[in-house]
Amino acid sequence: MVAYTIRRILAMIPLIIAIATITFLLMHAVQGGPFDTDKPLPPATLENLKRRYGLDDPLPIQYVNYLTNLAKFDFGISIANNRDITDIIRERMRVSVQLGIATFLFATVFGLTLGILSSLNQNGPGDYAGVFIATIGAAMPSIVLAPLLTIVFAVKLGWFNVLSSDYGFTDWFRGDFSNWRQVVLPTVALGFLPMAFIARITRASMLEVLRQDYVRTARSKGLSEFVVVVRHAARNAMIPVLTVLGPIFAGLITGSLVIETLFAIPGLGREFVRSVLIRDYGLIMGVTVFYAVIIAFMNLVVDLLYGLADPRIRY
Amino acid sequence: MTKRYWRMLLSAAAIVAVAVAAVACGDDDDNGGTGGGGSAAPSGTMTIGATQFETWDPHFSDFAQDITHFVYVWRGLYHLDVNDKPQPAMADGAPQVSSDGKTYTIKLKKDLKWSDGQPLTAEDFVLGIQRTCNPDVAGHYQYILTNIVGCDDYYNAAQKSAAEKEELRKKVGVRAVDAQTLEVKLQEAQPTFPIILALWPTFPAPKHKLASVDAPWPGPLENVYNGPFMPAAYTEKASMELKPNPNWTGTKVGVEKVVLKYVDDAAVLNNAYRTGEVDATVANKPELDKLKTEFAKELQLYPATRTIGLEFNVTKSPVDKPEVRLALSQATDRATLVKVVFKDANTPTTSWVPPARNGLKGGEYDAILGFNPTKAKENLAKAGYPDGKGFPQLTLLLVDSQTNKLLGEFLQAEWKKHLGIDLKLEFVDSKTRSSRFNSSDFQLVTGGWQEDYPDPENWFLGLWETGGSINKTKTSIKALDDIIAKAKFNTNDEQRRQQYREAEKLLLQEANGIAPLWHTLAAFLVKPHISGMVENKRPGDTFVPGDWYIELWKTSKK
Repeated sequence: MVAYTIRRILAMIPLIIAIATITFLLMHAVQGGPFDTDKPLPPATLENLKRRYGLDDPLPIQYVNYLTNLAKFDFGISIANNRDITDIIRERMRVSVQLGIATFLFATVFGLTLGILSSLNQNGPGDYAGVFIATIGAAMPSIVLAPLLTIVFAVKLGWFNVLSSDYGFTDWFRGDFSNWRQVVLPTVALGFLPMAFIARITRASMLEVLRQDYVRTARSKGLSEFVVVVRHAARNAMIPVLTVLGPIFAGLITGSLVIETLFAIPGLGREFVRSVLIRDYGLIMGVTVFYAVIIAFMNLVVDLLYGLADPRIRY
Repeated sequence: MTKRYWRMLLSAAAIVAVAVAAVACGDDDDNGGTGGGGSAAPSGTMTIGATQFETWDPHFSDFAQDITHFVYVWRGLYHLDVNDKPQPAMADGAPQVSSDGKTYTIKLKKDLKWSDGQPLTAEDFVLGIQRTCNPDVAGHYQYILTNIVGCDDYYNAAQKSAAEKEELRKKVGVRAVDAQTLEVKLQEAQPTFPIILALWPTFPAPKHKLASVDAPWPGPLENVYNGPFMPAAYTEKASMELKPNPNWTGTKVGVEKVVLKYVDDAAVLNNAYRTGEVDATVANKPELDKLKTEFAKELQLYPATRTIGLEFNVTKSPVDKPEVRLALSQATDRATLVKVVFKDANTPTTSWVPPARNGLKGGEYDAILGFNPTKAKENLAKAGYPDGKGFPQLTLLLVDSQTNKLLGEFLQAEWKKHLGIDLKLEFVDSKTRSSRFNSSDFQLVTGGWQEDYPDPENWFLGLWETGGSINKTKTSIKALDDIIAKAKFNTNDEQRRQQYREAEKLLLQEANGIAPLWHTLAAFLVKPHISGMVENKRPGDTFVPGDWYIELWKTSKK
């Protein structure tokens, strides 16, 4: 397995070079550059700006420069605000990861619970309720859900904040819960869809497992229902769920444009989309490459977890 | 694995339980200010909905949201009052101008200090102006200093060696006669120069913080300040806290703390205003109808110095024909447009320069450009397209947005109805639109101008002269070129203003380059417990009312 892991990590290098190359080409193929401001800039200013950011070199040279710096883990400087891109990604990612982890926990805990309860009560009222919630979650995108939650729970009821610019839970470990009003709504708004998804998969998987012979055997030998469900059924029903958890986790920690914008959370999702809109070339490259690494790495982790979950899978 | 998995799940559930418990028993985080409401000591906290600045460097940036920040924390030699007249700030009285109008000598106030206690001297102002002229800083607003001797030579020397640049830097016509006296030499007597001395490109640069003119500009928490406030805390894209600058010697500040919350979306900000999370914010214009009833007394609407119209590339058929341009303008019912598309969040106009700037009442060009379907038809026929027959393809380039879709469809319907022509709409993203505009690769766009500094010249210089540095409509009128050249360095102020009124007439009589449609209204929400913002707004304030006078802001909220 160690050899397999090393092989996979080495395979990431050409992957990342390919992604960097494609992004670089696409980015420069798109019309409009970082200095195409609403108000046109005088030609002398444009020239000085291009020179300041190394954009006056021919594209192939810019490309080679970029890859050389990338090999040194140097992402360069953001054109928009002159800051080190590594710093920007680190700061933004800190927030997005917290939003992602909290949302992942929310989605997993509630999704599994909902799925298992539905499956145990198949075609009963509990099942319909669970399926109903899951369907709403799947049907209502966060761009609708987030303003709805804000209006009901923040504006009308006043329970939570509209702005969540201090989103995070690292202070909680120090006993400072002062930002709790900022944490609940974004987590729920972002987590509803993955929760619904997890619930649906869990329910389907549980229903299949509960009909298996060994579950009947377990019941017939007089085991308590709790033990049957938790130890025998749920354990095996988790394998398909585990398959989707990895990508869901990767998707959540890499930030969400919608939720970060609608709750004013300073995360990486918002920054990434903005970097494309304003053609901040360095930042586009930096975040894309960074995302590529994260997603490649998460896929590796999931593949390794399969081996742990299902002893029949060997590397 | 399974056991471990369930343990993980259990601990996750535990965290969720803790979160739920925290929700249930958390305390109110009301950020009520301390101290009494006495008028002498600053008191209270104000939270303002804001837009994140792009860069912190006044000698580099030209973004409106950046400038809003600069005037909170830095001040120039002069400062624009609510009527946009420059008043002494760091300067001790009006500048001494030589008889030829080309040399300005400015005395600084005594004992000026930066926020860190270091003396603020004329050298700092020299460095500030040199930074704006520095090709390696590449300041966006260098063009407003082109009249300073040597500034252009230095700025255009990007490719030269460091030694050559250093020589050119020394030749920039600005020097410290002594620690308290600054001298600026101009190529021509410039009537608007005192205004320039109130703008951010001439703000001082702390010499003790910058090793050279090329040194990077320190960030918010590392920099020093000479304005009424200074940053106390800052999280990019989240918020900035401003506290009073202990070494500020101007009007005493009124509040203890100003918090700026950086939010991209105006609708979100308005919800935060409803819950009291922000005390002042821009109003979300698409919601204006609702806000007018919901916040009848708190909604502030006033004309901003911004004009938008139909901009024509006068070298492209069919809008190279004056009759076609006039026909399009006359076939556009501006009053209905502003009502239907913008819900009256803008003011219909046919003028280029807003009334606040040209001393006119407005409506002077209604007879030429205003809505008149009969005249429009006549003009189109004169151009050779009776009832729109044989009219070539005309494409309107727009930034993709909900409002622009309405705008495009409105114009499409109007022109079909009154002129019988088919307008094609092309929606692109903002940078593509700017790129196409900047390379004059368009027939028709909606666009215009947001004033940089309060003078009619700012509505003409570079924009409309033949070959002007930002003339993208390719407008070229000999008489207009001549009158702008005359007005530029005319020291007779009344005559100069009259010349710009003439220039506007020359520009608009055949809708050369532009047929104005509306002046933008700025819309804000300000809580009743706040004073000093709306009262001190300048016509140019677009992001925050009264942002040039943060020291006069007050709150009565305890």
